[in-house]
Amino acid sequence: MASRVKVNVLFFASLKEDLGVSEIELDVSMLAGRSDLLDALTNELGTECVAPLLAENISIAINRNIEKGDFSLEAGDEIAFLPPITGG
Amino acid sequence: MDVIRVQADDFSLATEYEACATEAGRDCGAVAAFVGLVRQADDDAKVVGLHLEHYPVMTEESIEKIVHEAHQRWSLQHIRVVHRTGALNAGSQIVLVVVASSHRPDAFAACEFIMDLLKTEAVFWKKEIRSDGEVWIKSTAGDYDRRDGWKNTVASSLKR
Repeated sequence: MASRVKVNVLFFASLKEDLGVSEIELDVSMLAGRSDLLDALTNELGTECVAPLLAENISIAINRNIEKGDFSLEAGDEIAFLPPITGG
Repeated sequence: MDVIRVQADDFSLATEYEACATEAGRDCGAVAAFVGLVRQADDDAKVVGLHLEHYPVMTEESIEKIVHEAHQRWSLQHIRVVHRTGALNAGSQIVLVVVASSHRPDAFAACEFIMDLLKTEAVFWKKEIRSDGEVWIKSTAGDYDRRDGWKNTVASSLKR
């Protein structure tokens, strides 16, 4: 069985409102990828709650770098779900 | 050394201008400045205010990237970007960009470039608090067109 690691997941702006939470600690398998992460979030928060995270315009940043493809999570990683940004 | 600040507090154009002129030194011949404000009306609905969120460190890094690109494109002595977060009332200042250069074309162009990229590339979220409800604002097609307009400009040909 793959070893488990703890990661921190952040939700911003509209997602924070939709989910009703800004940050959770999540237990995932070492080197968990995108689908493993979403599975773990679904287990934690429920299918309905996770739905907004799956929208096409939501970006995922790992340790503050936006990841367009798949990724492998390690202990202590900071994962952020980002709705469309706009500054200025 | 350029200055990038993300803060809840208001800023003073006069103070930032003075600091910019001092930092830029004796070769400075032009300072261009832009201040963005919270509009008081949008689509006929009254805008009561804005709520701005950011992602500490990632937001600052996203602005650093824009500032770095401005330096690559133009000959600039100093850049200051101050961006506010939190709750802002209608009419409040949101963002300040001040650019110093030897000549005005570089200062004008870089100031406009930085603002255009802040709209689409800086990590902020803005919620408009309106008389008819609250809405998270997205970049417009016009914002992306302006950003893409800069992408299609060859940086080296602009550098004097």
